[in-house]
Amino acid sequence: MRHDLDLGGILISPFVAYAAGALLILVGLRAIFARIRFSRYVANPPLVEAGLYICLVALLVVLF
Amino acid sequence: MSAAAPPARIDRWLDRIEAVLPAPSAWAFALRIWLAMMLALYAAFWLQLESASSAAVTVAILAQPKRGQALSKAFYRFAGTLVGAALAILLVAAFGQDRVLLLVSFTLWLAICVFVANFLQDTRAYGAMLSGYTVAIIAVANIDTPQNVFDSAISRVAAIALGIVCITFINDALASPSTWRSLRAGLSNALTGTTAFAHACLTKGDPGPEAALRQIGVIAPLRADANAIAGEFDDGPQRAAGARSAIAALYAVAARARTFAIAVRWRGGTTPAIEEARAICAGLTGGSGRPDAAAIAAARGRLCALLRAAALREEPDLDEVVALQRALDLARALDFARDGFGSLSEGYRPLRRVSLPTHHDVALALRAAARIALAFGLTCLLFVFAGWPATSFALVQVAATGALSSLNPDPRKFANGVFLGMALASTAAGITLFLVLAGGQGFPLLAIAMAPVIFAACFLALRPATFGVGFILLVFFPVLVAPANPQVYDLQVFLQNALLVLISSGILWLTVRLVLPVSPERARLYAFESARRDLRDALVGEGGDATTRTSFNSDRLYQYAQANTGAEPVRRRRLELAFAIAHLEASAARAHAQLRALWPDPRLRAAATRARTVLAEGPADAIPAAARDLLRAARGGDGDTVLGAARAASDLAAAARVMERHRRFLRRLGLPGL
Amino acid sequence: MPDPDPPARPASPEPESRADTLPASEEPMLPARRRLRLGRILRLAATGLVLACAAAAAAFVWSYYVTAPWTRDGQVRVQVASVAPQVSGQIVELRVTDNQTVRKGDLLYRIDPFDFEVAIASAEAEMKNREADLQVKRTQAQRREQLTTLSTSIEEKQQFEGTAKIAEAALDSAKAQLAQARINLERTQVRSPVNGRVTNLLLRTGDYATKGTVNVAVIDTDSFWIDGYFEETKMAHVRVGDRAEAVLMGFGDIVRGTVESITLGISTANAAPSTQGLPSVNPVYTWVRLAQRVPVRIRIDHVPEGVTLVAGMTCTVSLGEAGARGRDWLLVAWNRLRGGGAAAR
Repeated sequence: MRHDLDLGGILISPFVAYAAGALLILVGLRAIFARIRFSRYVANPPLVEAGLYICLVALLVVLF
Repeated sequence: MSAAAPPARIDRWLDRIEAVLPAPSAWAFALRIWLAMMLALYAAFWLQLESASSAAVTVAILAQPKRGQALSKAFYRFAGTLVGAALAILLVAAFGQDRVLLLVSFTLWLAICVFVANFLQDTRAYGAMLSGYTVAIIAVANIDTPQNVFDSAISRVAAIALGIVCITFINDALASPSTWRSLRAGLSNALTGTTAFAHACLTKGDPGPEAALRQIGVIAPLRADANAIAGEFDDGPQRAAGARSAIAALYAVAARARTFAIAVRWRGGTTPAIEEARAICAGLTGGSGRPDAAAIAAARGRLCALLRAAALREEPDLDEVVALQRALDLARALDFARDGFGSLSEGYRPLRRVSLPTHHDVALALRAAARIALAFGLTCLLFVFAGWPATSFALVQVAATGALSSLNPDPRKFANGVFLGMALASTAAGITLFLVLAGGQGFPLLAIAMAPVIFAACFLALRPATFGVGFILLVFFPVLVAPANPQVYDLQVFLQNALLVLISSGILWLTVRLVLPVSPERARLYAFESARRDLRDALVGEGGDATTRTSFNSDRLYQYAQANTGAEPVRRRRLELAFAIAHLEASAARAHAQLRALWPDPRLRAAATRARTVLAEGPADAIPAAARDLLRAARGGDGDTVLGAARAASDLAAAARVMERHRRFLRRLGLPGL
Repeated sequence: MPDPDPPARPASPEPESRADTLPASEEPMLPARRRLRLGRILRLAATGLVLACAAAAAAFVWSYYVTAPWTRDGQVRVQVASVAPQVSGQIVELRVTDNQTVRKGDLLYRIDPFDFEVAIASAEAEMKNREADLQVKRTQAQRREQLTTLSTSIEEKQQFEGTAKIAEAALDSAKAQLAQARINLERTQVRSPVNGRVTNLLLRTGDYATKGTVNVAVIDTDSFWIDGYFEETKMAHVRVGDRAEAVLMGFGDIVRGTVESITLGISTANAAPSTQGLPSVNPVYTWVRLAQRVPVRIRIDHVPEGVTLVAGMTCTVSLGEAGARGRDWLLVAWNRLRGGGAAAR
């Protein structure tokens, strides 16, 4: 998707949409992580969360 | 003597140097902030954002030593900026032609934001206040060019988002210490201190209001961190709930231990049951102060049995019931503290979810809002009449620093810090721009030139005594250097900005002293008045939940004590009365809640209704009799009914005792039952 | 009761204390400790894996946004025929309205032809005059020619021959003037030079059309193209003949095209001549060097149904097949990995 987002006449770069979408997905994932006690499986949870966020952004860029 | 002197002097000097030298953690913090700021600047230049320097300023504002605090502040900063930017566009759209209306409506909005911020806690308050002065940054700065306001708003939001992303990534990548670890250490210390305090209360008797206040003072600062860890991890909300539960329990431990000691004193002597309860509780709080779950469960079982026995006596001894009930409460609070602390460490769901409300004065918030409105309005007038050019820059600074000061517990000290920090920031920015950089180019040069000031500001900000100066230096240094791509080296513009910044800090300095200042007497009066209102509500049964009341009362006492000035005996007496009011309020609120819970039992209904009526309308002398009737009525019931009745009776008796002791003082409060 | 009584929960040991009570490393390893170590290795490995993925993802996003040839800064461009009358005169008839489609040769407007008809009439009269004159002069010259030198001199013969030639030249001139007058009359009918649309028409019947002054703009609808302004860092990936896709702002469909040519120069502020024709160079203190943008001309091959191209529209231009870049990148990375693996083996 290379289309700009149209919000009431304000056109927003798709990258902003990807970044926001990835953030939303990450917030959703966090709820699941909290349930499965995700932090037990990794050595540095904050760093892993940041890494996952980058992966999510890239995934959105590839898919859409 | 003379041979021993030189090493001593050297040691003294070494001590002094070590005290000044920043710790490794401070270096790490400063390095993180510097890196994040430079990353934000570079990215903003590369993306060709209009206000690249505000990305750096965002990093400076979010410079928190701990990850959770920074995240929480970042979230509210972004939210506040969005609201402020939307409102700025709205205001300019509505009043683009009329700058007087624009300024008036903006002043009103700023006042509303400050008022609301005074009712919120910590980073939330910061977000509310920020949405106020973002309007200044966007709307007032573009007052002469309303057509640019949209672009300005967009670029500011973009720059702030960029700054937030930069500092979050740097914090993640360089392993910024997490808030929950430091909170766990702090909570652990508080737990040890509070159990020691409780142990002292149990074994040596009531240590007095000052000691209790000191204990509250140890617990209160943990609250802000407890809210900040919610966003730190995936299981952060549970850890935060655990921390809050533990903090509420610590307040309760301190209060219950002291009321146990007071109940024993009222009674004038002990009974075997009280002695046994005291021994059990001393056993729980003694030693390491960390009883395990099994020990607490056993203690609670035994205490329940003791209480039941005391309540079922032919002629119940109310003071004994009070003391035993307090001992049971203490054990319960210890259990919650243990559970909450475990939840904070391990991330499991705590047993209860409590909020920790804090005391906020409507009158103080109104005065703060009026102060900022007056200060901003007067400054506008001054600048309009003075007719200086480019004063919108100064107006923005007045709005921003004024709003920041209104959230500070001590605005005067903050204003001093602002003045000093602004002077330092102007000097440092001038030296950096015109002596160090002096027409240089290339990003590494800029990064290196800005580093010393940023490091120094971070070190200053980490020391509690110089926090204000350091924070202002860190924030206003990038504002004044105003790195832009391409950079403009204009001495005249720089001097003018520096002068305006100093003038605005001078205005702030005058404002907090002259415009509606809050004297300690007045602050005491407000706190006292709010306590009186709450007591009145509690006596008629509108008191609310006991756990949150304990936290709320402790916070009010803490704030009241900060305004408690005067001679030692006067201070002591005031504090004693404040604690008495809090005690009475908590007892009355709990008694009403408990009696309400007993209402469904038909045997207790008559006694419960009578007790509530007596508590609400007086006479106070009839309360002990009502409590005894209640215990007698519960005699045939099952274990839980007896325990419930004992709990209600204990609170009724405690309320009666406080009323009896402070009768003359309470009568002056104009309460219905007295 | 406001708070529920907490049920007994076994006290959980603190994580550190677990780590502290481990036996020294030299002792024979207990199974529990081995599990613990395995757990630590796995946790580190999981973290490393996620970070490696993140690094690859970041590299991908970087190449996608920074080096891949695409730009949000594209514009639809068009050639405009600026029509000016070749003769002056009052417009008596306007045959087009604003935004009217016209074919090449369609009449746009007519200038009052009267003056030019008069000019033709007078030119014709002048020609007849010259013709008659030429006939007279020729006859005279012939007559002189047949006389001997006794009745006329050679000089006189030459004079009359010359006069006839002058009259002939005068006739030619009159003919040329007539042709010009006829063409001028034709030119009172101003026609469209291209297939296209009349745009921004501000003419009324009765306006005075001045020779050489543009008064009608006709957009050449056969000449649409797209200019993509690519950052210079991306120019390495731009080749003439590349497939191009453009998405117009507000339209979902893709306009397909081909890179036709690349502009070979953009202006630089520092080259502007100043006093004595010397360049004026301003000091610019940049912290970060920013990429200039170079126009790339894209020929439009296919416009989807329902899309009306309007010159000046903004579009996002990307070169190469849609989604192909992501696949290419993955392919290249994969090949590199395999190549590296093979070399190591």
